Amino acid sequence: MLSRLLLPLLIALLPASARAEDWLVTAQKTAATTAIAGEPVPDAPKKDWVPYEPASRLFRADLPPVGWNAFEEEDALGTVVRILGPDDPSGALRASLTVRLVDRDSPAFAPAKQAVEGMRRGGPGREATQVRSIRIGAGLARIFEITESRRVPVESGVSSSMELHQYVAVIPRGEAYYVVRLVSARSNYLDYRDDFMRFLKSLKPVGAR
Amino acid sequence: MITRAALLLTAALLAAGPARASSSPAVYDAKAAPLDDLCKELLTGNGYEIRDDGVVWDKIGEAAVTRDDMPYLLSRLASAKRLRALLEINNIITRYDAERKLTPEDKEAVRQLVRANWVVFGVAPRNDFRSYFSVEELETLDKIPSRFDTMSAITMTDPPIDSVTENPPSVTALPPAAVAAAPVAAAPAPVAPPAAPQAAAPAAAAVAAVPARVIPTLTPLMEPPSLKRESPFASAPAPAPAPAPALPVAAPVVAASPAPAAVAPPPAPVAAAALPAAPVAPAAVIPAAPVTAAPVVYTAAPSAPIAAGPAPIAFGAHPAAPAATFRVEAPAPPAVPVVYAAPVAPPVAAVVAAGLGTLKVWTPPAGAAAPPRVAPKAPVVAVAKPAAPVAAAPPPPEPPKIAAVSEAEYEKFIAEGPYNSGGKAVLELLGKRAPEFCLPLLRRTVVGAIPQIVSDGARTGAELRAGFTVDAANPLAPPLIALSPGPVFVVVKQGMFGGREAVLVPESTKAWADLGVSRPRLDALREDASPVSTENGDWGATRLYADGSRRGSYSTTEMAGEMLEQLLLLGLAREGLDASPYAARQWARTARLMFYARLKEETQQDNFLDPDRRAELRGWLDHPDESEDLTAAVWSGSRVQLLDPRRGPPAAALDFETRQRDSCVRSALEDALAENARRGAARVGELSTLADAGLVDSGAAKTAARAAADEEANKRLALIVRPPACPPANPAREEGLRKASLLLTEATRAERLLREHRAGIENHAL
Repeated sequence: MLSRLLLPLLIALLPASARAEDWLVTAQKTAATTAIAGEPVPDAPKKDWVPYEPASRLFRADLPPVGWNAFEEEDALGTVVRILGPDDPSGALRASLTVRLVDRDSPAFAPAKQAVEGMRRGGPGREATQVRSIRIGAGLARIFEITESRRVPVESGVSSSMELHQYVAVIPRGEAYYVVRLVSARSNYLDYRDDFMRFLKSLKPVGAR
Repeated sequence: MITRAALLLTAALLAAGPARASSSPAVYDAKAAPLDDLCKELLTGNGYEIRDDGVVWDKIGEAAVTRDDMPYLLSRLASAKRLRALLEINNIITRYDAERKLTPEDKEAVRQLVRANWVVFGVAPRNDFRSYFSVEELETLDKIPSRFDTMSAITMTDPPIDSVTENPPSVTALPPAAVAAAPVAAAPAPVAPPAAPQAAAPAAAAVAAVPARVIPTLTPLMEPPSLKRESPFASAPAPAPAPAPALPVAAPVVAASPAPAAVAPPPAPVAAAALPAAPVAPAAVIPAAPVTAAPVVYTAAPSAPIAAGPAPIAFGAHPAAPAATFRVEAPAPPAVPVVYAAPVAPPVAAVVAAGLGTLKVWTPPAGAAAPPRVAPKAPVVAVAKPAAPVAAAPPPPEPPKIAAVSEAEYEKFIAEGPYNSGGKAVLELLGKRAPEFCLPLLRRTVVGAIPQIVSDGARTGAELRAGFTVDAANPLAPPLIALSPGPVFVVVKQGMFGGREAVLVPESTKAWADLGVSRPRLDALREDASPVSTENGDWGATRLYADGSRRGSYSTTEMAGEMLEQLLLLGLAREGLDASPYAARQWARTARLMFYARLKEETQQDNFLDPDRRAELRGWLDHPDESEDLTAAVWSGSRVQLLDPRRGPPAAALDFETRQRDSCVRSALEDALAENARRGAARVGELSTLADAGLVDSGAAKTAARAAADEEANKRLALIVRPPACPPANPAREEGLRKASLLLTEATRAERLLREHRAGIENHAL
């Protein structure tokens, strides 16, 4: 009887134990709670998700209060907002959420439908799910998932193959479209599913160029 | 009587005049508070007249401008100027479907408009039009602070009531003295955009009028943008251009350099030059024992460019690794370190080493006499008192005076330099096929640093393909670039239903020592082990050993790309441009991938790459956004950590570090704790991978992981008890981050050009 009661409890606790706190968050918390003479005490981290809007005003969305660091940069395809989350237990990669606005000025522009097909194109060790639509604040998002086997890190150290997972959402906005992608290890991608969906639902275009 | 009364009244009125004037708002006096050129241009171009007595007269309103109104007026006029420029630009751009389809003439027109109005553009329009300018131009333009950008009727506050003379009329207008002292005006103008001289005139006036920050120019690195090369995929090799037009922008830079003697002379007269003070390295002493067992035979160096065909490039080829293809059956000798070059060979009689080819008598050029080097970073010293004041930052190290090296000089150096035929072939190939944007640095690094290039996987550190090392204890020693001849790997089964996958391991014993475990006793890592068979697989000609370990082989073409990346990273480090490891690696990686893409385009195949590099190149070409996202995810992981998630790219890092100064001790503590935790997490993660692959005994892995955790905990405790000292302000780092930001811009631009070129080809195909 006891084991029957404990089993569900154990199962319920498993995801929490699988997703240990990121080492970076731990370091930040430790530094924040250390008493240092003459230094201002930092504000306590917020409990609820915080609104975020990049300098380019590409969009507005909510971010988890801790553990996700956002910044914006310009790459060859245009402006991209990267939101880096927790590190994988293997240390090989960090969960990464990115938002791009693809328009005609992008050098790799393709209409949304073709772009989705291109992204879903399979290959050795690469598979994609069907596209499903979901209504969010920014419009009708086409969501699919990609799994791929890649060796990471490819440059240094012990390099072994790893199953990667991507949540991809394409949100048309006229001729242009947003591409929101969450990259993580397949072994723990479900840990980020709710985060991804909540972020997606809170995403709203502000003043896209 | 009436006349007398009228006269008295007139006199009374005249006498009352000054009194009335004194009670009205003070009229702006341009003599007391001189206006700069931009303000004059704004006023005189919009119906105002600056009279000789200093009054600014509104010709339409027929009134003098008051002192209080002047800031608002200037802000409004600047806003109108900005709006007019944006409308004109919009008129040009909207003629096309996409901005990238602008004709060169219209692009130039946009450039002129932007340049002329740059000073009144704020952050957003500046960012929008950055892609129209080269990095050198941006460097100059960025020195122009935005004026009147945040000035609006809402945010404007009343000017102080005190003397107008002490305060400039507008928030940014400067008196002539300050204008004359502005360093920008006195700068040697490293960038002279040749295409828009007339448009540059008002902008130049604006530049001269603003209080620009002193930002050392990036002259050693920057070359003309790669725009001058029309296609990075030219099928035929471009004829060697004349030396003069090869570096149109670099030439004036060299002339403006305060140390013209640092210009590397052409190799011809070098023979008579003084010998360098660099110590003589044991050039031919690199492990020589195995050489006799397996002499390395370099095939003829290709003087012609890469031709189509299965084996277009063959230089320094390992017998087990046929050039440019992995599919050819060949016997596989044991791995031996191969010396590609012995750069500091003594200038005596020819040095002959068995199996290494003949190293010619060679004297380094004068420019390479003392390889400039970046001073090692001073370690942060922990102090007992956390917030103890720290002495002012030492002056930033003097950047090395490095002269530009022309294409002809580079070729001559390669022909007459110390490298043997294999090394020469690789360097020639890089000189011809590397992307244009990285060529100046590549040439400077090769000619200036004369790196020693060896093929030895045990000297690449934790890197799997190539790495470079600089001897910090002996800064005069030449840097070493080590290339791995092939990967060492074992094949393991992934999961219950998974396939068999290769797990690659580093060869360096130090990499294993850092992990806390001893290097596995794999036969593939032993020099005296003999393979039981050879096979051609994904990893090229592969030797299979009795214990199941394998050693593959990288093609020489792939190694050329790896060498390019390492040379560029070395060059960036030498010239102090590695403040942001992320930017430096991104820049060098872009060059490598463009190099590979070019070879792939020319040979119509990519089988000269190993499976990982092939997947990387295909992803970069076909799914660029996905590839970049994955790269960022991996580079921010604890095992690589080129991209600090808290800091981000250089520009964001600069903002972050500026903000952190408010609580510098806590920030320093957080940095130290984060780095400590990262090391621990990386070790544990890597040990876990090793244990899963069966390369390390699970007990040993567990012990090492526990030791890593204990070490991390102890250090964390020590850091909390004695937080690191508040780091002093470091202007060199700020400058380094700004330059790193420019590096990213340059790489982005080059990649964008390539992608636009590819998109053009695809559209034509449709």
